[in-house]
Amino acid sequence: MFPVRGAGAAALDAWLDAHARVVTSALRQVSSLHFGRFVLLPGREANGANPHVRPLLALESNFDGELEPHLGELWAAAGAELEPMLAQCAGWAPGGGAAGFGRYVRAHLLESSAFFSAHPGLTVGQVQADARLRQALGRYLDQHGSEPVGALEVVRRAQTALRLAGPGAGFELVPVDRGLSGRPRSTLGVLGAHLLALVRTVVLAVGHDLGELIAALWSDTKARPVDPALAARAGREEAGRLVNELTHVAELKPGSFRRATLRLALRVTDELARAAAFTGRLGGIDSIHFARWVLLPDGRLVFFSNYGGSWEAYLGEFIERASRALTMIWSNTEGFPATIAWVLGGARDEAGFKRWVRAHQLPAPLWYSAYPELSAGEVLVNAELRELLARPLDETSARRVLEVLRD
Amino acid sequence: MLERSDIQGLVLSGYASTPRSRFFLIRFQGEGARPWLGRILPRITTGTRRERRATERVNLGLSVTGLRALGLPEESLATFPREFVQGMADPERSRVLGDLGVHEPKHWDFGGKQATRVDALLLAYAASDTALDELSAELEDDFERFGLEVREEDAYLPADQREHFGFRDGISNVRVGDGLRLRSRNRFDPRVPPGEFVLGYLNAYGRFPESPRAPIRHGTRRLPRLTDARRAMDLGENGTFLVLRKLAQDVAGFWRFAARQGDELFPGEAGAAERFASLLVGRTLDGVPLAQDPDLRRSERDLNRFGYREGDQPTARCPFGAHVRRANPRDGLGEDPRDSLTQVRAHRLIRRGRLYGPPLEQREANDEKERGLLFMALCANLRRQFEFVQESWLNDPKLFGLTHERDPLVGYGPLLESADGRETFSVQAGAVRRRCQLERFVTVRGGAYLFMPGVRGLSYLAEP
Repeated sequence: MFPVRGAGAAALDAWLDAHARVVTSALRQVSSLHFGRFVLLPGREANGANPHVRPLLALESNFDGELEPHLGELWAAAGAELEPMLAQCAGWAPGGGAAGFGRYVRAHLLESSAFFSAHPGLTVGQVQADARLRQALGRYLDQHGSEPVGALEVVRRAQTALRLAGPGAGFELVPVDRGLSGRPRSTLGVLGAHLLALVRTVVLAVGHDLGELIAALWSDTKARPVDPALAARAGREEAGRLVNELTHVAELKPGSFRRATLRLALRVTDELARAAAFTGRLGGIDSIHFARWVLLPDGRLVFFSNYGGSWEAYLGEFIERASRALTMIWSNTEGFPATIAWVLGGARDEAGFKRWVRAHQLPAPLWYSAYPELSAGEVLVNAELRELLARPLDETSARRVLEVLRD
Repeated sequence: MLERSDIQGLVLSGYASTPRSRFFLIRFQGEGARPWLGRILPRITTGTRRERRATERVNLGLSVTGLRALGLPEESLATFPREFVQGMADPERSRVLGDLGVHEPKHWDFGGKQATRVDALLLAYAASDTALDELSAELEDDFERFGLEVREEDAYLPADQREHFGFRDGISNVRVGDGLRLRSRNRFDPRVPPGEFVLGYLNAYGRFPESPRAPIRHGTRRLPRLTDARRAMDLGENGTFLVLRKLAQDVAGFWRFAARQGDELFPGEAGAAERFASLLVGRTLDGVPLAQDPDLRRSERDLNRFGYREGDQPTARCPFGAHVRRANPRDGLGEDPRDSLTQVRAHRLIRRGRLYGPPLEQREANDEKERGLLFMALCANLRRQFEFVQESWLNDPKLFGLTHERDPLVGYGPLLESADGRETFSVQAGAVRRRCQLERFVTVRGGAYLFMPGVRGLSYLAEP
């Protein structure tokens, strides 16, 4: 989150629009980058009780490995393009090269309060190699799938052929340790672990801000109207894309109690998300590649998500499968649909919730995806195919290969 | 309870007793729009039980340009949903709907360009061709009198209920739950709350749908109710959104293709073409769902009493990408069948489509005549219902664990890298899936988004 210089916001806006194409094509060389975006979070003049909020340039990156080498790669690929943009940011010293960029990013780094990845442990290279593997397997089965030799034998032969062809075709039949060892915590376990924290938050509130606590039992704040220009832009950019981005900025409701409940909700979500990484689906939603909430020091809650399919389908899944968890988080922010006791109502108000998300959405002018045609489910299935084919086959694993390969 | 006397009849009935119909695509000219609307108003068929026995019927939908021509102010138009205001031919909508390439609006017979825009759609239904001609003559007199430009499209309900490719159609049309009758005895076909189709009633989320507003007017007719603390009128109440799409079908091409593919997939078998075609559709020509146990002794009712999960073991009886499976996934979305059925309820459409063009006499012999479907669908939310079904089910290459295929009949979009340079349709009936070459035989030839107001809403628009 880079603070923007006094009058830099307008210049940045124009710059991002003008250079999005050049930068995204440069980012293709960054082998560690899954998804990345630059988006300007506008500031706000001080009015009444609300303090002045500075505009920020947000860089969100979902990357492999350590931060340092990733930033080095970013700079090497797109540094020349990024330099004029960073020149609009406060504290940026031009001419510092990769080292300067690294220092600057680290100085303004914000950890996410809750983070989800559907396919942790799979690098960009691996995801792309697995896609090639699946394609090669499909092609093999097109030619040899109908030979009357039985399922096990067909897959065995495919395995042999792929093992030979792989190195030349950009994939390998080797297992990958994704670091998903141990057992995920159950939802109940996570909730149980935080019960005490919840009780403490409530008890503290009774002591200090009883008014806020009571207000939170039934909360309904005035919604912000949708900005037609921003909605139009989001609609235009999303239409027809198979993988999409969502950048969303909400303002925390006033009071320390709201801050406490939000932090708690994010902590719970973060742990649930860690457990969900084992299955690749967060609260029953299987379309998300990466998602994160970041709580800014100025009281804004930013949500970054990279998901497959349409906005309408994504929001539908939010409402149908994860409304409680999302309400628990977002009911602490302004304009959210009427909520009872943090978790009830809220996102269940389908039209109101969708309107609220649109009203607070900032379409990222510069967004990059290393695999714009792959869904999260597909990435996982491709990886599973590789894992199955990397090991000696038996009847069960051969059947599984054929079952998941549906087209 | 539904206020039937204010709802246009097409919402509540498919008008089976008036199988002949003519659709008038109207362009308003000059000042004639409003007086014409006042003139046509008494003819509008409503959903009352008495009108169930009517021998001729008239319904009316208006597009955004039509509403504007009728003098509805911009502030009111802004309360209509974005996709309606954009119109079906907007490039953004085209990307959502997959109306690209040969399907692009610029090639359409109507609705794609300013010159062929649809301001209003007047639907006329009658029991016979002569009755329809008489009714049309009366309507046409008025068009002339008020100086409206009109294009006609004839459409009919086939006596054998088969669409042009030869499949029985309309078996699983939505049932609207009214009042107490919300429970369904068929768990695969839950009744859908009325607010999914008519504005002013509770929808699948237990909420009232968003409804367009209009500034308060006073007049001699019965006008819409006041709303928003008596600051506006509820123009949407008892209204519905109407989707019109003209889908041309190349029947001979389809069957020649099915014969070729059938021979390849089921060599030497009698009826191989039909078998292959059924796989694309997900039902046999007689409407029997492939997902169902083939040995079931079934009654008419059972044709709609099925889910997909049961038929997927050990291998899928009905291909995952089959048309009816994509259009209504029933229990087959995600992990949990019950969740799936609940979810599906929020994406249903009332289908009121009719055929145009004569049936093809001989299946594989092209007679060069135009034929197809004048697809019509009704819903309360274009984005969440019609567009969602088109974009996220029919046209989503990633649905059901597939990766690069789209609906074999009406899907369309750019080829994905994983498609390996060709469009395919996969059949998962054997141990190894078979990927068949796919060709396209349905082309979008026209379309429009319309709003069908309730009678009070129409009265409002007719008031000077």
